[in-house]
Amino acid sequence: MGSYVLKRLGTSLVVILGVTFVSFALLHIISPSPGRTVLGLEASPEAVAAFNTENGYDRPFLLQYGSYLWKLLHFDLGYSYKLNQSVVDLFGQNAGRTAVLVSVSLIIALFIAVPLGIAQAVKRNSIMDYTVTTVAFTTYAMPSFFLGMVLIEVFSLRLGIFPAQASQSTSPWVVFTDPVSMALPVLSLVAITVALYSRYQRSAALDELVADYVRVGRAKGLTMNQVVRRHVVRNALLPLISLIGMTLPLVLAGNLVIEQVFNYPGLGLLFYKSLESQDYPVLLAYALVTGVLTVIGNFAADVALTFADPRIKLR
Amino acid sequence: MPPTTPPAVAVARTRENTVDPVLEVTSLSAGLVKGSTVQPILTDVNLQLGAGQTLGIVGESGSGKSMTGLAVMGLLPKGVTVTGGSIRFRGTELADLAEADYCRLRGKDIAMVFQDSLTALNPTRTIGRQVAEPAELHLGLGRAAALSRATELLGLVGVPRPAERLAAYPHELSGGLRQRVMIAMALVCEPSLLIADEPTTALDVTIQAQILELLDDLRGQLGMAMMLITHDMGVVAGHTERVGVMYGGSIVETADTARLFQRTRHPYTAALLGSIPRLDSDRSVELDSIPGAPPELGDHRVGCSFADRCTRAQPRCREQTPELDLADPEHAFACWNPEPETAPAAAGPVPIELSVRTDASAPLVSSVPAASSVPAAWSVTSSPPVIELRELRKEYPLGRRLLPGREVRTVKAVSGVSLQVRAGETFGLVGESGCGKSTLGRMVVALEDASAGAVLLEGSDLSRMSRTELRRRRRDLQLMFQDSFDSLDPHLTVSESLAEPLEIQRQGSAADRTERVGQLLDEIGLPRSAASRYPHELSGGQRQRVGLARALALNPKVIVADEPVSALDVSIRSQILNLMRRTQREHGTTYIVISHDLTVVRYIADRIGVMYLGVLVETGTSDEVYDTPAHPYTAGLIAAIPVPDPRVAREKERALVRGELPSPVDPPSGCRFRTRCPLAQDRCAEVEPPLREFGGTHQAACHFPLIDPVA
Repeated sequence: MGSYVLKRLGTSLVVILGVTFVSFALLHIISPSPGRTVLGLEASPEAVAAFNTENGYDRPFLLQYGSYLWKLLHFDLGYSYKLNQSVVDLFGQNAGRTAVLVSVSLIIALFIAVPLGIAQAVKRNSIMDYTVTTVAFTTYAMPSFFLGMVLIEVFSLRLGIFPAQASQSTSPWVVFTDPVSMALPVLSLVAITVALYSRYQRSAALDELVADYVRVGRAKGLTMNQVVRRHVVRNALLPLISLIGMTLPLVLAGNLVIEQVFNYPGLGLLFYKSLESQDYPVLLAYALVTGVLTVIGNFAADVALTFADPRIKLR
Repeated sequence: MPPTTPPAVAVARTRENTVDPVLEVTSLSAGLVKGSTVQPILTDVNLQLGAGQTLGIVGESGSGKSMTGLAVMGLLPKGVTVTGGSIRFRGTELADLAEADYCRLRGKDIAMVFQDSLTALNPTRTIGRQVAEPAELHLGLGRAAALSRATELLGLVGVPRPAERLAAYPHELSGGLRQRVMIAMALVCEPSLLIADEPTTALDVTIQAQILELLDDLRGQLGMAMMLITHDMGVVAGHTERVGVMYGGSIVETADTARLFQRTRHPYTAALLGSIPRLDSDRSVELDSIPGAPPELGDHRVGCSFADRCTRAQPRCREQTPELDLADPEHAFACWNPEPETAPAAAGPVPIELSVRTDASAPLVSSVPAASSVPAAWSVTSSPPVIELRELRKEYPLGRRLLPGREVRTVKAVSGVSLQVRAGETFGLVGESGCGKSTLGRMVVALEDASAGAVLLEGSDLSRMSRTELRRRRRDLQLMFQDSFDSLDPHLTVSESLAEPLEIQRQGSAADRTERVGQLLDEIGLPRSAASRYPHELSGGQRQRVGLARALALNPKVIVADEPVSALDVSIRSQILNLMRRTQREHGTTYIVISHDLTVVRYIADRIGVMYLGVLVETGTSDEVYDTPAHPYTAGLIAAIPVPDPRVAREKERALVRGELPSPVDPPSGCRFRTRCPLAQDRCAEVEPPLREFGGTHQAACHFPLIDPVA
């Protein structure tokens, strides 16, 4: 177990290093002269050159990459000239809000998707199953911004129950302190996640329901409900652990559109604005964070699986 | 473990109890409801089972034998319902029992044991919890009390150190142990009826013998009635008092076990018995085989469902459905033109006895004559070897080495096997699963590299061939697989599958290849129209024919057939075996047939090699090995085969090879078999026995062989 964790940490570091290299290289290709981007098109070439020299942007690529890594080691993600703030500070202000929004939505989604998927599997090919499947596919296939707009149209403009814009409070706990204004962003995120997870949960449960131990359980005198509760649920949850690990960064990415639609000041909105203003240091940091989250999500899922599934041994 | 009840007593008790049966199934019918139509699955099934009695239900896949068991359990699959008749269990009618009442009955009064599979037990729950579950459910025991009951039962079914196993998970147990756990789980509440559905089908013969013995013992101890559902006539012969033979969803013949085997009346039962290769079958004669395939479950036609495959069929058989004539309750059969009543046939083969001597100095004497007296039926020693194995080894590392200096543990799959196979010969390789026989087969066809030693094809070492040379020579080495469904690409038609080896070896033009595909289909007895079919459109037997045709496509010198008939129904098995022998005679192909089924190997092979834990413990002609086994392991394997003859089966001693195969990671020192050998002495742990000559081609590696070695 211990040596496995060490090994996995080692490989994770290599992957993260790869992510930094690729994203840094891409940025370097897109914006080889940050001075021009920062100072604007009116600035004289001399001023741009002076800026690049001053900040080391005229050095060879590998040297620039080296100093980027060095800064990373000191938790320096760069400086946003557009917002006049260090990227670490920017992330610090916004990450909390996104994290709370995402976690709350994810947990609500799991509480809906898991029982729903299992119920669908048990009552497969029933009207309920077909209805849920249709709704899930429609939701999943819909672009998230469109879903957001539909929700705004219905709940805000027509029914007037919830505001169209999310709370602008800077507190990360705004989901709990101002649930009404956060209802629509949460609702959209939950809908998208449930659509995906319930499909997975349904097929995972179907795989388990055909397993011989279900019949053995019935032969013991358990009712079908008892077999499902005592034996099927836990086994059907196992594939979902990996899925949650893998979709951790995806939820963040999907969140980008939702935050923009509802104008919720989180990491996603920051990324969106940075994209518009070509604020490269922020974009680079966002790519890196997504990469790191992917690695962490997979790693956490693998470790969690060893606790949940006695068949898996880490070596 | 207590001794088995002598058969005579068991039969006597049975007679007493038939007065008040535990289970009485009368005119039971079940069908798959599709809209307003009902597709019949079971038709007019009649059964009676008394306390302490074992009823065998025997049939091929789709015969409805499992459905009968499930109907009694009230666990018919979704959509299938009982459409008529009654199931009375100890006076209670089950056919229309409410689900809640059924739940109280299942696991308590009626229990069921299924075929072992990896998912038969919940993989994420401990053995203890799963065995204790029925006790908590039905007996109202608390967790602790239920667990101690589970420990008791695990001990009863022969799980070693049961208290320690409570916390184990299913994947940590071997197949044999898992099956014991399944049995323990079924018996926790001491049911009065146990339904065992193919309880030993997935297990090795040695383990099968132990499990069947265990079931017999427990039935006696607990006074249960048992319904033993199986496809194996041998299992039925040795372990039941009464048999029902099922075909096409009906019971076609039922009688006392002895009577059914000796005075068979239904042509299907007779044909089934004739198609089973037996240890004493005459190898020069083709096996009887039943043409065609058994009907699928739910196929229904007017008249007798066996008529199309029956040699005694008359016009009437296709017009009127014969009913089970219950006039003679001792022996009933459903046939318009039954086999003539005959006197009991001649006695079967004498079972091999294994005498145990503790005196190490005295030679062990067996009841069978020495090898020299057996004439060799076949002699192919004059032709040069096509395949030669020299000290062949294969070891698989367990994980990778992380720190230098630390020894990597290896699975020793094959540990130094040397043998020669001559042109036109069929060499049979037998052994329990995990003995390395499949690995050996894969090395022979160069699908697996040897860790040490060499495979020589006509004198040239496969491992020293260049890539292109090996690629060219692969046309001489072909493999035939067990599961024809997995081994045929589902996206390729039969003709594409058959033409592929020809294309890869760049043989002939497209037209030539099409012609060759046609020839191959003729040869294996499929219509040429089958060329455009996909694998899923063929039956299991037809797919296995295609598998053979694909192996034959390049006219190879050697075909390695790994369990070629294990996945097939009994009546189809003989068709494929006959076909394999016929094609061999025509082409002079050399076969290496790998099987766990000793009767199959006995029937098809000229020479036999018995493998145990990676080493060859005995080789010789099949007569030498089967008639006068020298190695105790071989003798034990032969003794464990269920013989489809009740008289022989009843006289058989209890399983000779006990326990399970040790881990191939740390094989026992000296003789690898010593941990399970009834004859083992100190010397067996110290010195690895070399192969010794026993006359003719007979060789065995044992310090205390059952027959005297030559010089």
